Amino acid sequence: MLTLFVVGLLAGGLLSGLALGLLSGLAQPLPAAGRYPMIVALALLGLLRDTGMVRLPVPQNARQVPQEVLRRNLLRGALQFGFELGTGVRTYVSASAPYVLALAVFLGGQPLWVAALTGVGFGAGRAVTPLIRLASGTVEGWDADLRTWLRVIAASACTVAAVSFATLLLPRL
Amino acid sequence: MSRLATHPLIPAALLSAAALALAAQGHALTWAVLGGLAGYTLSGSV
Repeated sequence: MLTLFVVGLLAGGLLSGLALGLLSGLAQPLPAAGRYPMIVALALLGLLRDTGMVRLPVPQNARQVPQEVLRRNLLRGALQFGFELGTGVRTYVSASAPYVLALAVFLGGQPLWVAALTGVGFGAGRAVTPLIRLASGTVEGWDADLRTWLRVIAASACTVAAVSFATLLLPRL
Repeated sequence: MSRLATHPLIPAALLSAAALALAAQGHALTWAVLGGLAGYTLSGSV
């Protein structure tokens, strides 16, 4: 069941990555000199948002995957559950980094395979949570640690994104 | 597995280090790793 869940996560991420990669053509008329610094600025804005320094409402699908999905058919439900989470657009998005990455793919003008891999990476990142939680052997303790550190993880992800994009993209200008 | 090895900070730290190292080399895989990091920030959200 966990395997199907992970496959669903990867497939959902792949779909979102491909969709964003295809849509990124719409941003190409903007010069890279505008798009690349904008990506870095968006990551910094995400950092400010995740540290509570700015309030910035963002669109999200404020729902959870209904439990009936798993009750109807456990195996197909696990796949669907993973797929919906993997797309990143079917459930709550509680951190800014996914928005930053989505906008970066849209603005970045990378080859389609890079956008696809970014989406698969997103799904894989989501898959890490249940896998490491299970491996910890103490899910309650792991959940408690996560609650303590989640804001740090969210903020540091935006910081790493800002530095990485600045390192990767700005020298190309 | 020890609680330290599976601490929630560990994946974030590993993905962050990988992203920064790949970005320094100008590698396109930076995008995939940053995607992974972004996905991991949604831990606990279902």
